[in-house]
Amino acid sequence: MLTLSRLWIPFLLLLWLSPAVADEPPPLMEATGAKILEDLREKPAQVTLLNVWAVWCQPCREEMPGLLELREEYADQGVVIQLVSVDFDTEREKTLGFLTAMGVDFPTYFRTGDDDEAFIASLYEGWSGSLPATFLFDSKGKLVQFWEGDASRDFFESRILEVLQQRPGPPETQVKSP
Amino acid sequence: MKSLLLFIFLALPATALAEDPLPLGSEMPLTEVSMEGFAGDTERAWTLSDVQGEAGTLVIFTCNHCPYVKAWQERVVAHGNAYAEKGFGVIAINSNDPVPYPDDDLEGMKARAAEQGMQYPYVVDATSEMARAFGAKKTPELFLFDKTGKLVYHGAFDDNGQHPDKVEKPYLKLAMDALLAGEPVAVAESKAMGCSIKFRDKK
Repeated sequence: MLTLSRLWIPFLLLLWLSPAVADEPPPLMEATGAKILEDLREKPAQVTLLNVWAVWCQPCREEMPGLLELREEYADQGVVIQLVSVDFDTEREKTLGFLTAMGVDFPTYFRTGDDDEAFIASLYEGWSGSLPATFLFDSKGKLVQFWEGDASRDFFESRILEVLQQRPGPPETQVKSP
Repeated sequence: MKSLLLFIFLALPATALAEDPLPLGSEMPLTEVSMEGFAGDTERAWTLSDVQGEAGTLVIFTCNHCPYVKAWQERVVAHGNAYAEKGFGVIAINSNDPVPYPDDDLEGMKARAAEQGMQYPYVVDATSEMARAFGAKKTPELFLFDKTGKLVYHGAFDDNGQHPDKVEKPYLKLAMDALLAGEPVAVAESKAMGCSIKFRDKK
């Protein structure tokens, strides 16, 4: 007979089966571009993919699910995917809302400061400042691939694999020396 | 093999195929390409040659939906209107594909221009070729040419999109004032965040 004391089993089962949507908004770490790179280079992962996005940016939102899938899939191979929101301060709640809806339950960055030029220059002089923008760093924390504009999950995966396997990317994503 | 090549092409991000920005000193490209648009109640087509000004020419890549455009819009429009009176040609170009971004269609452009009091032409780059020729990658993105048609400034309107009261470097104003004074432009390039231009596919 199903008594109250036995209801905890199906309750736990229901909780486990419920959609994997984060209950709490993921923490936003305020940081400048320089700080983001400092964190990344303190203990570089095998591959770090830094994706700069904003909640109002439709292509940014569209490519997010693919990025999150890859994060799960390649975590055990030392691939880290960092998200950096450049939303305006006034949009912070929307940023959090979107991340929560995407099931993001890990800390992500929220760019601080108004100095776009410094932020852009700190990440890569070859970046025009357009969104979305993606930066790939190798195990030494060196920027090895970059592109601006949205990309498919397959494109992201191919680039990640190139860096993991220490192969060069296609010409259009290769980083130009200053 | 053909389908593999097609797959590789389609997997590339659209803007990875965009050209490098026009180098300083370059001449204005595609000056005779006609672009449909409007200025106030006048609807017609313009070429860049049509709008070249005696003092210089300002080309503004812009759109309707981008929050960075919106953040700078009042300043850019007021400035464009004012400097058109000083002998500059000014033109705003929308290179975005309106199919995935319907806010960027012609009706949206007209509404935005009217709302902002834009007096200079706002035209449609119907194939995105103008953006490609300039190497424009985002909105807003500004290209200033001197009276001889050479590029003397490329980049942002000023150094603070979010907070107009905290602007320290009014890049475009300084560049255009330098042209009026017959002086070299001290800061010829700047960068700011913006929305990627939603290129139409190359034909």
